[in-house]
Amino acid sequence: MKIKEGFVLRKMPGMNMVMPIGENIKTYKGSVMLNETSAFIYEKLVEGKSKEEAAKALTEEYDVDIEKAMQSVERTCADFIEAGIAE
Amino acid sequence: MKTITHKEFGVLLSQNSYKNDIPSSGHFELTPLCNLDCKMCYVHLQDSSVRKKMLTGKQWISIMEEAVNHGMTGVLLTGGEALTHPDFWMIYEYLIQKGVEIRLKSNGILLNKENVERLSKYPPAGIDISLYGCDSESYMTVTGKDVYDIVSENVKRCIDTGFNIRLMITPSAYMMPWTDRVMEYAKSFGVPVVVNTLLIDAYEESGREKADFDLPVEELLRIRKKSNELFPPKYMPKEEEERLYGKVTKRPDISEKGLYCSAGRTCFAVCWDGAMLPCLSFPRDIICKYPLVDGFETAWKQINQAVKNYEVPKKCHSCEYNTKCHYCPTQHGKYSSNNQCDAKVCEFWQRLYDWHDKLKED
Repeated sequence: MKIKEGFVLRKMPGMNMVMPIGENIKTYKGSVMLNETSAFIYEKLVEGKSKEEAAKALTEEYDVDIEKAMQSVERTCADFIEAGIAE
Repeated sequence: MKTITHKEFGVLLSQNSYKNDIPSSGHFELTPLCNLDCKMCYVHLQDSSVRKKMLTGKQWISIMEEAVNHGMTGVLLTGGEALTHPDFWMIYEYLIQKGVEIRLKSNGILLNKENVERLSKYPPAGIDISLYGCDSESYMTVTGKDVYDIVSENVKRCIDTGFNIRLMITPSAYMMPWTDRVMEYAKSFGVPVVVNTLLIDAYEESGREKADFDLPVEELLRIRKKSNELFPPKYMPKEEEERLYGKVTKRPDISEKGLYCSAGRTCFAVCWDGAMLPCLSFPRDIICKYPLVDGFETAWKQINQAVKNYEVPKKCHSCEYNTKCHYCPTQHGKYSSNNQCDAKVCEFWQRLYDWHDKLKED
């Protein structure tokens, strides 16, 4: 599971967006809006972390147990694949 | 996962930016220089010292980098003729790599085969091409150059390439004999057309006076009516408007302080000399900061505050049109520095609103 190349995460107060960059803007039409948790997971995956490592990082950042964190990561990764920003 | 349209996304972005004072959109006047010599152009400067004062690509990028860090997601690159800036491609490709949506404004002369091929590698979100004539004679009169054939060919090239094109027309006294034909010519391309019916004051250094190229109110209204016939405005159904915009971005009632539009709230402009304003041509004596000197954050905060604190003319508070009219310092030019109205601008809008109301009744 990894984030595809050709995207950038733009973070601003109240909004996080994944936008296509470079030649990818020709093929990827649109942007993906992420909530705070999804943006956190996205960043971990960009850093090259595995799903398990991303879930562990979630437990360290937020008040959540590993089981729920893993469910959240799985669900978010499925959304990333559906949105075409991860593979 | 929920999918929303580009328009809905734009509204969300705009509402979020407004609420959080994020400069999400930047207009960059890369150069005051141009390959045309339009007599009504408010920017066009020819003094050789201009080249020394112009920002380099690196300077533009340093401002843009700060803007991106503060939430800028879209830009308009304009001029003069933006494509004549020596570092245009460096700037363009930098923005593309940052995921910034680019709209380019051009007179079309440099949208030749080579440049269009280069742009099509990383297409802009849109290109606004200004049309200044409908034949060689009109182009010569308005712009000082016969580039009719070149521009026509380049507009077609951009459309054929699949770029999102808008044609922009700015009627002036110089274009007057051809205005209707220029609009009809623009229509023949089958792409969206925008007709600007209010001209703005020229830069002092340009040596130009708006009075020399401005049109009488009667003619402005006639052009507006003609353009509405040729390019009927598409009104959004009321329910759709309510759903999209809700109450958040609805124009607020007139208040003691604050301008209504996005200038200085979610948008900013940086002029060719590095001056930041709420929008291009915003009167500099109201507010003007220099991000390369003051830093982007300080400059933006002061622009934002100035717009929030601007007091619209007292006269507007008792004006019967104040539920429709949107006081714009740029349109009222020098009068806005003293929080006053330009009577001619008021007359234009009042008569336009009356005409619109009559149209609705009919």
